[in-house]
Amino acid sequence: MKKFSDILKGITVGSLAGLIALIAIHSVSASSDISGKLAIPALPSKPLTINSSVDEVLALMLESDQKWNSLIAAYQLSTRDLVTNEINVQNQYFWLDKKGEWARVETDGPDSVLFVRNAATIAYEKRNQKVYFQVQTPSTFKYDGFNPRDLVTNGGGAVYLHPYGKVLPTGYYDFIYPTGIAQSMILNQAKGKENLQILGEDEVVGRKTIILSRMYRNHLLWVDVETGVVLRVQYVGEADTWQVQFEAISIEYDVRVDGSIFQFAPSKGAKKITSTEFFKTSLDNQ
Amino acid sequence: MNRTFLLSGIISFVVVLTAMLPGISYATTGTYNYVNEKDSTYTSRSGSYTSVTTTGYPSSSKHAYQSTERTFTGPNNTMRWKCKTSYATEYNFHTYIAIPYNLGVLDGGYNYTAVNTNPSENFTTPINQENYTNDWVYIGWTKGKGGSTGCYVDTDNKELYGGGLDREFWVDHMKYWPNTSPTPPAYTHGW
Repeated sequence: MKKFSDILKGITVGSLAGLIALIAIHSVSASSDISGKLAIPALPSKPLTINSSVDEVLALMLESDQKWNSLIAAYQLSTRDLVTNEINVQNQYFWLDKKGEWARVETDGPDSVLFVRNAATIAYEKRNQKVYFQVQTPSTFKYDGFNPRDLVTNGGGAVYLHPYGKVLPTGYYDFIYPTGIAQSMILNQAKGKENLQILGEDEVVGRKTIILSRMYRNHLLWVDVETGVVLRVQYVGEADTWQVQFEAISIEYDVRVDGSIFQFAPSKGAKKITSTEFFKTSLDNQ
Repeated sequence: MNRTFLLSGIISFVVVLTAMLPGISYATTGTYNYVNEKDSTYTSRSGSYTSVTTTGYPSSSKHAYQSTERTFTGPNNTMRWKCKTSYATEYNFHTYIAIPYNLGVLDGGYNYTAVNTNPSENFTTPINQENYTNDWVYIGWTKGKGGSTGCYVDTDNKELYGGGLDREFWVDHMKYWPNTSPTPPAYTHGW
């Protein structure tokens, strides 16, 4: 009988200790909850100025796509070899309408591509390899109520890329659709892992910009004061000068874009393949 | 204090902790693997992966887990992140990649190709890791029945428009969340 009583006491004390430990662990994890630290100003209705706060810059970048409907731009991507100081340049051309639901992107150089998205399909051609595919647009690239303001406050701390941006064939769409970067900066700022500063004003392709410094990555961003589009970015990292620069060389907002721009016509002699073949990796053979 | 009391107490303590801890395990620290494209091998690895949890999801979310089934091959260092579970019916597999905190040499942009058994929703998206250090990034959703053969995300270390410069390629957790909704499930992401 005494043994049974000892077991019962042991279970009681052990369970209580377990619950106390759980509560302690839970309160530690709750302290990392950042939802209460996210105060995002409303989307600015007036252009940013040198007196704007960092939070206002982030608010504009977060919902930047609300500031334009169509856009025609050319950007230059420059990458510097830190050993030889040689600079590699690639031009990237963008025609976007209906906020990018209709899109055409062309790039030059050895990785030259043509990308066209319209009402129902996306088409993608690697020009130098003369291959292309054309498929129905996957649902994940549809707008479908995309609401970055809601996502940054209720999205569990993840970054949600712009559905019209993340389909584009460039690793630099984030600067035309800066919502993802803004979400990252807002979330990391709330966690105390950002050091953002406004360094001043500047002009890029005739447009006023605010220069935002993202210190912990050593990035500089020139943000269009009216649209939030990033017109120039420099990745400095640990170097003395920029290693990568992505810079607008022309940009026009809300101009009429001829519908024929969004019709895909493959280059002469280009061969149609499947998207799987197009993005084939070495693992597909295993 | 006798042995019976101590033993039953310790067992109860462990049972309570292990039964209830998975619900909050997402807050634990993640780990990463560093892959050097020149060597095409793992160069370091530390720690273990956080455990799977299904707590706190809407009832329409059948299961959730972090994939730890990863393979790689040289010399291109393609990584394949496989779905582990298969289902009798199709689900929308919401997919997140974790990009760890890292400083120093610039990271690059890489294509992530997400595949599932229903190819109509397969997609490829470029992610510029330089912009998303220390973030969980939602890349989108595929549709299908899952399983390690027909459901995965591939990425390689071919840096987009790198101009021939050497780039690091960081790899961390990836999560697939099968769900009936096209909207990502509400969940708090942690490291």
